[in-house]
Amino acid sequence: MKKTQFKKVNWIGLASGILLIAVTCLSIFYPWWQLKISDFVYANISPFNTNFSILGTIFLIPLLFAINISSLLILTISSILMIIYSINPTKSYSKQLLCWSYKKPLYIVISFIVVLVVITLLVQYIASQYANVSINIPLMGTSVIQIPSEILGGSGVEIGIAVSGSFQLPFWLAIVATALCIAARLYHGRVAKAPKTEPATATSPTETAATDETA
Amino acid sequence: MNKLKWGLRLLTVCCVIFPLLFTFSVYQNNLLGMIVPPQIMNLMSGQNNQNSNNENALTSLFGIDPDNFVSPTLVGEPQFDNTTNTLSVNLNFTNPLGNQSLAINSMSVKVTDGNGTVLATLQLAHPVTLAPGQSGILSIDGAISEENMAYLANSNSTSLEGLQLSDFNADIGGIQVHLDNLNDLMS
Repeated sequence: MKKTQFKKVNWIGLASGILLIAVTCLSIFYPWWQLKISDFVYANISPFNTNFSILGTIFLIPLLFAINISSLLILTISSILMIIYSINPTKSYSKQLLCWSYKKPLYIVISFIVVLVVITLLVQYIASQYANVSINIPLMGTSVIQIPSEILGGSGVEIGIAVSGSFQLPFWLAIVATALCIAARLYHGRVAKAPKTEPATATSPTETAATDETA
Repeated sequence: MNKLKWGLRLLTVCCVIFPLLFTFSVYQNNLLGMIVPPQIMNLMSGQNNQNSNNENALTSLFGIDPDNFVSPTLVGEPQFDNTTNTLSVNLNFTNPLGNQSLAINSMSVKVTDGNGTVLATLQLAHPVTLAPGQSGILSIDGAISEENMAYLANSNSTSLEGLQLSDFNADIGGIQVHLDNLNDLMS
């Protein structure tokens, strides 16, 4: 009687690969972080699709678009390689695939957060230094930009502009996918080192050939 | 294994370099175009050529029709409900933006007489969202208290002529506007 032998699979890696594909697809349509300045100006920031909308007109910056395409290619390949590794974790090439693919989402998420924080701080600095406007750009939450009365050129007039920033679903999914990638890397040791289970009734090649002929 | 390792590294480099090289090749004669959106570049080149058309280009870029910038017009006559002492005014307003809906979330203004007594606070009955270029009715109403009704009844006509609209507050699409005195703006 033969024992059924299940193929070794790094399930955590497989889950992370599938989640990365979902993140990639979602990120094309939804930003990771959105800045909303009143109802009239939007900044949709994402490693895969960054654009700005002013009064309903969408603006793309070609250099950012190229960087977005680069990130999109890298994450797509990374997720595919992660899936290939996960269903063949004991192959000789598997560790190479894993080591390449698990780092890329991590790099992308860290780069995104660093760039986002730097840009918001830079904008706040430039606005206060050169436009004499105190701006607080919230990464998460809402604030009001008060336009100085000197700019409005009259007393008795006040204008406040609501600004809100929020991380969107693809960002949180990317964080989960990245955590799963790291977990898959840690789990790889257990998958790769697990003893190979031999079939209970091992048959020699000659016996196998004989049974094939009779069949 | 080394081949695979180097192959993957090469893949990373290609993924990063090729899109950048492609963009560079497209904008090699105009490097500023790499960091400035094409619409703004067109606007800038238009500015260089024809200064007079710059304003038109800007308004067409954002889908703004200058003809749509008209003050709200009164619809019918202001109504006064004797039972609730509520004054209602309907204004017709057109969204001047061609690509963007306009939400008027709140609006309020105090009506004071010449002596500075607040007679009523008029406010937008309900938020209104207008699609691009669409017109809509802004319903503004406000109750007048019994005290103020008696005050108005006893007042002579000359003091009523100096009605002031003050402490105007509005939230239009997240932009909060406050004006101490609306009459100054209207005059």
